[in-house]
Amino acid sequence: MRRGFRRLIAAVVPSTDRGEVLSGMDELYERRRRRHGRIRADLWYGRHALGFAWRLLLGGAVNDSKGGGGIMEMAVQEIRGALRRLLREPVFGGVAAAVLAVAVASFATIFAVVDGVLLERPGYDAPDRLVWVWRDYWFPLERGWLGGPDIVSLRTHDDVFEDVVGIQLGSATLVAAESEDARSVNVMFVSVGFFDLLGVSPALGRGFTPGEDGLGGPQVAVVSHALWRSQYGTDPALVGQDIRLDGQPVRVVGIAPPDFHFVRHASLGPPAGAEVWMPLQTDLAAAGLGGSLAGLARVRPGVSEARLEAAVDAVAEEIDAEFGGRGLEMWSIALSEDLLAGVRPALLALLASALLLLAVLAVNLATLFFSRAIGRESELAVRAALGAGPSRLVAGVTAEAVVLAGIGVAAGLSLTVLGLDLVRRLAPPDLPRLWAVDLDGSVVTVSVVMALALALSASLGPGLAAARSGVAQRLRASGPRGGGARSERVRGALVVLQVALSLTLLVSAGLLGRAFARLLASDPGFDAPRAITFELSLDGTNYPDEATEVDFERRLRANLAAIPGVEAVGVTDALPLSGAANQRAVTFPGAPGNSGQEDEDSPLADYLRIGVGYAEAVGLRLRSGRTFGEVDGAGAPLVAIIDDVLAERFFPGRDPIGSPIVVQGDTARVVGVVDQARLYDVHADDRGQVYLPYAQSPHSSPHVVVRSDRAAAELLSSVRGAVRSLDPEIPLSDIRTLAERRREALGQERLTVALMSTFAVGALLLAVLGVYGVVASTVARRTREFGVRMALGADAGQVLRGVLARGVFLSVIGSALGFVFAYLLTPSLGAVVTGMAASDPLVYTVVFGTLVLVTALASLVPAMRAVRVDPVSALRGE
Amino acid sequence: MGKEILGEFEHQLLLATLRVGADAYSVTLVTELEERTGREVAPAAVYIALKRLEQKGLAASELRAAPPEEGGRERRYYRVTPAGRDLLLETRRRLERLWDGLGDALEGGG
Repeated sequence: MRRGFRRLIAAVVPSTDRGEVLSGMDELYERRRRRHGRIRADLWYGRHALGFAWRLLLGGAVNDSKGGGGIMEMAVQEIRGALRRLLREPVFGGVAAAVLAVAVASFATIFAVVDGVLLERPGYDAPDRLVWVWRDYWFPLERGWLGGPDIVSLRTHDDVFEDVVGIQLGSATLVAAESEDARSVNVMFVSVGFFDLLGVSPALGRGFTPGEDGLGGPQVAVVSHALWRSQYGTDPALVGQDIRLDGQPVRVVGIAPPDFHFVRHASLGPPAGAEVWMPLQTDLAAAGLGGSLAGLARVRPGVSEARLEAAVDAVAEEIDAEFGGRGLEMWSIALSEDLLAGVRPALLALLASALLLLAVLAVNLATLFFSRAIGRESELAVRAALGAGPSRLVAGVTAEAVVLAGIGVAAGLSLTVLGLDLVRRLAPPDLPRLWAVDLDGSVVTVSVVMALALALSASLGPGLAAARSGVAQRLRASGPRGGGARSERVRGALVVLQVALSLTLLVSAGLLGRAFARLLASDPGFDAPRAITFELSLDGTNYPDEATEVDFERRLRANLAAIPGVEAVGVTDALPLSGAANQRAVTFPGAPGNSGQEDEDSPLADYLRIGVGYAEAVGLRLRSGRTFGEVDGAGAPLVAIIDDVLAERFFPGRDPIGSPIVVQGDTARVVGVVDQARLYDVHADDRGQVYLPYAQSPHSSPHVVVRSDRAAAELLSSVRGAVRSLDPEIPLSDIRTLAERRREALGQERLTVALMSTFAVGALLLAVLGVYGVVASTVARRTREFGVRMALGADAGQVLRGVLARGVFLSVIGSALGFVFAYLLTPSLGAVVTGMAASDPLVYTVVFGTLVLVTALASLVPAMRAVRVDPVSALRGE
Repeated sequence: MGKEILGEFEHQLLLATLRVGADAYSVTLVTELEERTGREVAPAAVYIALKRLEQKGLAASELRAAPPEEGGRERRYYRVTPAGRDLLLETRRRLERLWDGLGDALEGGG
């Protein structure tokens, strides 16, 4: 801290006195420290170091011209002069610095996100040679898990692949210490080559070794750095010790490096990471054809796309033959491509809009400098006449630009810190690589370069013009007021450009906003009431079979329902909008909607297991029949509820109640039809849904929905108590209200629309200021003319209309140009928010109307001034 | 000489330089001013004022080695020039003329 301030003093004090001043300050500092303590002495030092900077840079009280004419000293002198000039014009300096700060903040925020998410490389070796391989079924599932034999077969193509690993994701209950609450952790089960394939070596200990996978291997695990830190206080002795996962001892063999953020991509639903990795203990070759694994492969260097595709196709053919040749295909996609495909359009659109805003700001800045140059024309002319050469004038202008850029970067980056905070808060939890979004070196570099480029390009134009044109001409041309009709034409053109750019942004934001509003209003198929949801993980030791799981569910439901204020309670294996459901092929024997084509008549449906009370808790809308009740127990006849998608397809115009449905070989009776409750997107899922009673097919990590009229936080403590009274070792995780889940499902769209609207409104304000500035200066220049016209009896309304027309004319021309920009640019926004109309007349009309109206209002202020001109004083004033 | 006006801070600084005497350099001057006025003094202000006094010929400086017990480094020591002494006396006379007869009135609260 003090070293920095010492450097500051050294920078501002002339070299001849530097040593003297520094040792004097050190001596005074020591005295203070002895008397008042270190902190107050440090504060004193900082304050007075700034005092030196302030007085020497601005006061100019010291004649240091003897200090030698080095480039640095000259630069310091120029900067000093620039600071002094800018302080004499605080309005210009302040506005220019503020414009630069906004430019830096808006661009740096977006750039930091784009840089972190899209550009920064993941911490793996040669990430571009990593690919995911997926199955594409003959029925509509283009992105299916691989089966064990697929992996084994892919590995035989060792001329193409270095290695192929299978990955599964599960969760387990971890009790880190006796005193700690049990918590649920994600566990990734991976083939032993996993860490080597990624080129990642553990921070401590080792990865997995051959022989640790396969059936009956040892229970070993690698633990994430974050878990090691939060639960074990980075104790190195954890390696070699046992931790208890689901009550079973598992030996920790390694700790993952801190920057390891691997996520497993899913067949459906968002990618997810893990806190613990364990060997996949499955005999892959004997695993059967069913898909359950994410397949990650490392391609050998120099292998072409075509050879990769050929290898994948060959495996697909082999596996398809096992399926009986029904048309199974397989495909591969680069790891980062797969991760980022969903967010890239939105991020690029945001980057583009940040660039548009930047352009508006650049024009604004140029206008500012231009007006100032006009105002200073006579001053510059006098300075030039007194012998300041062109290089000297340019140096002065450059110094001002550097000072302004410096202030702009400092203020702008401080705003960026806030901006990134906001982005982190608004960003959807599944935005990939959010952890990499940071104000790092590349963001700072880009900001500095950008601010310098902006300030220099805006200031050098007028500066160079001043330096080039002849002195006499300038003295002649610049009257006492400065600025003529020619300069107003330049400013008018700049304003037209500003209006055009802001219209483009406004139209983009408007189109996205409308599409977003439609999404918000769209019906997710369930009534999101005041309900909290959470996940429970039943430990495999204490709940070894279906009977114990069903028994637990029954007791849990009773306990939760007994909480005062609770209206309904139910469990499910996949909450709405979670994207977490499994799929099964279903058939409706004898249903009228069957086509006779076997593949078409056994579509894949999302398959959910729900407990008694779930339909009521989550607000499913029953169309006909009934929901599940206590009668649908383990031994009772099998029953199912289907959604309207399946009902309309297989029972058009009929009631399906009582019809048979076959799910995985079991025949059940349809007892109810409900509206589809969206699992993936708020607006539409194309797959049908089947609900089965939890009691007839339970599972070990149910999600629980508790509907109540009480506040979530208050309810939650009662809920925790109720769960703990059943089993103190069961962790609650993933706790959110149903309303939050609905909000989060649109998180990415919300963030994009929020940022883009902010940019658009900012651009609009700048455009309005621009129009105001031009009209005001027109009025100022023509004051005398207005005076004469009014004295000659001109109608005030006529003058008013004339001035207003000028402002409106600029905004109409600008809008026309903007419509062309918008027409060319907005189609590329289609991928950002689903359901965006490429051309929405309402948006165009509203934006155009708003622009013209506000620019007219902005012109009204100077117009009123023109009307109020007193003819006598206007004539005398010249 | 009668035209020269002494700024308030320059005035104080010249007096402090006389008081400190042979040991007058930036640190002792800052300390002396702070002790006498009871206020914090900015070293930058002292640095600039000393430069200005030197330019006006009211103070002079020389580089001398500090006493061995203080490290023996070279330091810039200041003294008041005869012109500086004259101006101090002149300033004092001017002030005294202004104060003449006011003391009783002020202290009498009238």
